[in-house]
Amino acid sequence: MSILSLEFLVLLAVLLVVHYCLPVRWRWCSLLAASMAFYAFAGWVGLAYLGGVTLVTWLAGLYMGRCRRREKEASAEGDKAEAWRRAQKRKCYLTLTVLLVIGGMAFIKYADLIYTCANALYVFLTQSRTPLTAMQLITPLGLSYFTFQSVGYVVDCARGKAEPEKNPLKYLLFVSFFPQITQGPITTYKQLMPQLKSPARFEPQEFVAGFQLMLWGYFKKMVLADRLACITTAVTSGTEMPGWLILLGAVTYAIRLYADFSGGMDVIRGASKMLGVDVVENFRRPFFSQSVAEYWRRWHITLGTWFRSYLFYPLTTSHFGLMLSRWGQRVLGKKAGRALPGVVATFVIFFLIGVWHVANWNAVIYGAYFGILLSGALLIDPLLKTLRKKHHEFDQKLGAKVRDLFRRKPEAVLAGENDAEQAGSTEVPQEQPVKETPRWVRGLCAVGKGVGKGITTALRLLRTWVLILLPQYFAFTSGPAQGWALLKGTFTNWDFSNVKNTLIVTIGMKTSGDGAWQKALTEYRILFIGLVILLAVDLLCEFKVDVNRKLARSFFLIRWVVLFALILSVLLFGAYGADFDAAAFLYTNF
Amino acid sequence: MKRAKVLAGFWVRLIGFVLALVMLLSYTIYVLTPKHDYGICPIMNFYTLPENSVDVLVIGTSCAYAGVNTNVLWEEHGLAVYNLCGAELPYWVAYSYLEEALKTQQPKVLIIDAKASIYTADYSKRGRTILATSGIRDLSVRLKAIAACVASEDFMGYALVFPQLHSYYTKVNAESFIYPPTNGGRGEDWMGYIEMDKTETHQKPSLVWTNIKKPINARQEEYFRKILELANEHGIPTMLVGFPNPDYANDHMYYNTLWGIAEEYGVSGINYNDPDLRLRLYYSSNFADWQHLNVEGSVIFSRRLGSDLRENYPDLPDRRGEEGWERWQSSADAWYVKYPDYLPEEE
Amino acid sequence: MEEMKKLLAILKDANEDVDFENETALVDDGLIDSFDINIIIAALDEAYDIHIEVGDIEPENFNSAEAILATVKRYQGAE
Repeated sequence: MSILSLEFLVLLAVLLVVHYCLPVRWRWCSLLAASMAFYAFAGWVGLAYLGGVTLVTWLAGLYMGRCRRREKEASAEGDKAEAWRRAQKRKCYLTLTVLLVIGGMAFIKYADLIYTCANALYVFLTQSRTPLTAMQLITPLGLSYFTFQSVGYVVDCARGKAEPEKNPLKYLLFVSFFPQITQGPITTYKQLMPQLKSPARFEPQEFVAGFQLMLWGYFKKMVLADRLACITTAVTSGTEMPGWLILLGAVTYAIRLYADFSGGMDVIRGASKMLGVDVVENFRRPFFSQSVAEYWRRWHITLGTWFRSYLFYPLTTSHFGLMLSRWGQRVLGKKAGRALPGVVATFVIFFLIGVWHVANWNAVIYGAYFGILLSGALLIDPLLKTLRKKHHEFDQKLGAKVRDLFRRKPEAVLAGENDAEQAGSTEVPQEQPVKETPRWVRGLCAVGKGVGKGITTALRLLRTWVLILLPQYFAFTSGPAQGWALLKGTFTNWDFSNVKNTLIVTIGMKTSGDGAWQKALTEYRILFIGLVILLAVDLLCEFKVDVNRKLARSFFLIRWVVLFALILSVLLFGAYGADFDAAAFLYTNF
Repeated sequence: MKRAKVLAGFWVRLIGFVLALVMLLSYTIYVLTPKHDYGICPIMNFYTLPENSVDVLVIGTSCAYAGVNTNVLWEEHGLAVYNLCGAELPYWVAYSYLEEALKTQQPKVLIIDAKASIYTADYSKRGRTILATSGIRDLSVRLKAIAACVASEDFMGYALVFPQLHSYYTKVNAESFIYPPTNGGRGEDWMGYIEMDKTETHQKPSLVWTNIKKPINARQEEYFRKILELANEHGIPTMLVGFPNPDYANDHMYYNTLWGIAEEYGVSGINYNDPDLRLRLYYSSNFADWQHLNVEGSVIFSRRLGSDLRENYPDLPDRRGEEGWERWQSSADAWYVKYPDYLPEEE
Repeated sequence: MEEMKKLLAILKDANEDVDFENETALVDDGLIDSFDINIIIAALDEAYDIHIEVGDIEPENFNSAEAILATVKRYQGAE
């Protein structure tokens, strides 16, 4: 079942009724029933696999808990050796479980690649003419998401950060919670389970806020992302294209990905909110990032935190990591050496993220690119700091000089001096009056500073956008060759001769027929207005205005008008129905 | 207590919201639906007629709405005729139209167009045919009509309306918002006749008249039978009409089958393609295209249809001057102002 | 507070720009990121010969100099 479908809405509606009719203690049962119904739609094979992973990780969690208890007992008794042995046993079983579950995911995801390699090996070794039969493997719905989530649970149990769940059904709910299973976010046991066990009681404003969030998500996905999809598919599947079109395609791909993924997230978070469960954000307006590092803290947040908690820290704080750090400090100097484990871990993580997206050489490029960027940023940070200090000093000096230039005596003192002169007094005033900079000069300096800051922010944003745009060519194309070809193509062949026709075709219209250009223009207009609305809302959120909450609390007629507008936009301008192929969410097949 | 108040407020607002939303969406559907005079207009206008005022109800395809000139039939024969037709109307939609019509009207004669017998598709592929059902007021009849139009797996998409209709926002103009529709500019007194102003030269269909029967589409047959049965149940005499058209060479074997089926129910009719009838229609100047009579053709045809009706159904009243039938008079008056050449000669 | 002075010196050495003395929401406010935490952990490992478990890399344990000191003491006490 896709969260875009009518079935999902019907399921949600039924669930809402049942959910709030049950006493709070039993509400998790309705959530579990709904999750199972949701998943069963995707097929029994997937459900069986999900059940298998759940069982394995649940048992592992219990075992981890038992190990830790035994370790504590041994420690308390003073038997350090025994405690250490048990700790090793725990780590060993943990590694086994993690390898098993993640291995399962990897095997299914990369089945094609594995088949090709295995087949090549088989043919080479046996010189047989007939290749091995390929297994037809179905990818269970939300494979990566429930794998990561359950692995996180097991590791948390092993680390003592979570109490193992004794009830297998409640644990199953954690793994399979239906709003999250299709595309995340990947939540931790501590964040999610308490809410699932006792969801918040019904609050009208929260309920309405959830509904609004869902609508907003549908708007982003169906009106914006799917419209942009026409342009992006045209560019990725086209051959000879003018450079400006490729650039347009790359930029719209980034926006489309954001609208698609964050739209899906909003639907998921909205639906959960209506049920009384608060799910963490996965996107925080990533295109307002001023550096690549910040971008990765605002884009696909939960993937980042998962990799950080379960891969980055373990790698860098392991014995190997510390040894690397010591070696690095000896060889490369204190600062660089200390940063070395982090740098290596970054390369590994971005390579894995690349591989997670696409199983070809593009992943290597993707990983290397971000690894170099982020570590490079670390390394040149000291240099940038000195530059910034010097710039700041220059600023201060310049400001002081400007203010000096315009200093004069305040009016009152001048008047006093005049009076004294007129009165013929030859007395020298006791105190030297302080020279003041007139207000308008101070104002101008402040404006100048503001403009300067604005320009710096704008430049930083631009830099981040360019740096983020480049790897797009290698993240979503079929291979480095195509990525490189498209990248080269962006800078060549800026042929504007066929602009109108090209634009008509890319938005999915046919060039023939009267009014094709008018129709295409209408579509572009809708897209433009939608993007402006998206930008406005995101800007407000960035300036800490909780638009959703404000709307939920506003006067009901205002809210109704906004809701009607959103509903009509989705119904009228959404890409669904007779003319469109319901564009699947981009991130559900991971 | 406070919580109870909050919750009560919420429920009241929720119900209000849902009601307002339903009204808004219904109006949106109305605005988006194309108001073609060959689409939803005939049935929407039908509901505005006074009860039991239609004496001759015509249900059929474009051949019918182009050929049956209701104004001529009124002016020269005093017959109150209404064309409840649509472009390419298949028998499954015709059946629903009849079902709806019989709720408020008890016509003395029902004319069924034979043309739908030549359609070979199992389901309506053209969006406009399905959209024509949006005019039906009774939701259960409308849904039945949609279900009859499309295969079962597609039903939900069409029943929910928006999947099919939503991309029509490009075609919306100022006129789309007006309720009720203007019937192609003809106003409320329109009786379903659509003038085809073009003239195309055609030739008399050259064919060897046979009795060969080509099987018609099973679903068309099924619903044709249902129409005949329904008319029989209500005691309404049915007349099967084959409208003249230059394309008849293609149609004639299907018409043979249809007439054979109609015989089983004791229903007969007139196939006006038969040259022996001496209709005095000129294929070179009385047709707008391959299928439809033009204005002049419709006048000639309707004069003949009127006299045939009077001959075969002598109980048909002459409603000229009667109270309650003023709309037919005003429709005819308005029409003859536009087409004065066709005014009947003073005797 | 000799221990605190020593810790502050170590922290300053790891990252000069952050005001470890006064800030109490180092992680929550994003003043130090995961790279910084790594460097701090490496520095603490060097200085106190303690190996901070991954499980203890939580915002609560690194939000202020006092919290870091408490974590260090916990590890020292455990040995």
